[in-house]
Amino acid sequence: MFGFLRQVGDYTRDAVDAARYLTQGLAVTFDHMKRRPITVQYPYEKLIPSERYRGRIHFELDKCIACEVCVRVCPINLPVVDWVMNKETRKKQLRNYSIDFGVCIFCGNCVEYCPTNCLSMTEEYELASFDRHSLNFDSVALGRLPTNVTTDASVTPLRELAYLPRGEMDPHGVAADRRRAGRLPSEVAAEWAAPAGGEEVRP
Amino acid sequence: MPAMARACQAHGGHAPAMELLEAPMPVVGGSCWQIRGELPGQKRFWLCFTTADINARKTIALAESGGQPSLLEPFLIDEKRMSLALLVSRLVQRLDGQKWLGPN
Repeated sequence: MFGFLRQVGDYTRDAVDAARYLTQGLAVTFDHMKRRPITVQYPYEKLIPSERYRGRIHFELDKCIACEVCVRVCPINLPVVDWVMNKETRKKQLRNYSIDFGVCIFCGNCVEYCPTNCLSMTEEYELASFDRHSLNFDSVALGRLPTNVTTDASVTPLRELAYLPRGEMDPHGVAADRRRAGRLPSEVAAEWAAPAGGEEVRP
Repeated sequence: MPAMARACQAHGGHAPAMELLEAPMPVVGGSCWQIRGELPGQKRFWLCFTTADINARKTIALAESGGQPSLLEPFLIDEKRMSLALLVSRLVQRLDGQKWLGPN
């Protein structure tokens, strides 16, 4: 007899839920009202790339064993590994190694799978050139130390929004020693390594 | 060193002028045994041994056009057992990778 009351209740609950979700979504939208666009005067000011940024690849010739794993895990088989067998040492001798950064998609698979860690990602991202063939880096160019935003004396490094202290929106004028919002990854790792008494260690 | 010179010549380049001596390590200083070599064009390299042993930890430094080396790099730190042939072949590989022994 009162079956229709359940339908009314369902309808009301759905309407309340919909209103709540709409409000939650619009809260994020309206949160941006108090943010203003921040202009970075690019060649003189640069944003610091975040940790684990995947920039130009650095290569150490001495560590390479010419196993060609980087070629196999590359989506387009990009690295060129030129080696010959050395009969005296019974080991491969690397003659040339090159990666074409005009073609590379910076997925980081080669760095991930390199068994001797001779490849690594840098935070160097300025790879503009007049000729696309000059982006084909050989072993000498790959072995150069990467340029760094924070150590370049002619550049003012600026922090990205996620690395600013709580409440700060503009990286200009924020002191370098003010710590960023939230906990640092090292602090989280230290907490996991030494758990409070009797607490189970999380993976 | 004669083996090194032969290997470089076999690679088609000039044999570097080399000498083994105890001298300050480039960049960081401190006395160590080292092989100092020079190729035509004032390309110089230093292969330093932290102790007087072929299995010792090694570093390498390179400098072009008569300049002073600015970067000291570890050399073959992953090799457990070092032999003369391996040392020579890896040094030749390194110099060749630097395009010092010939064109591409």
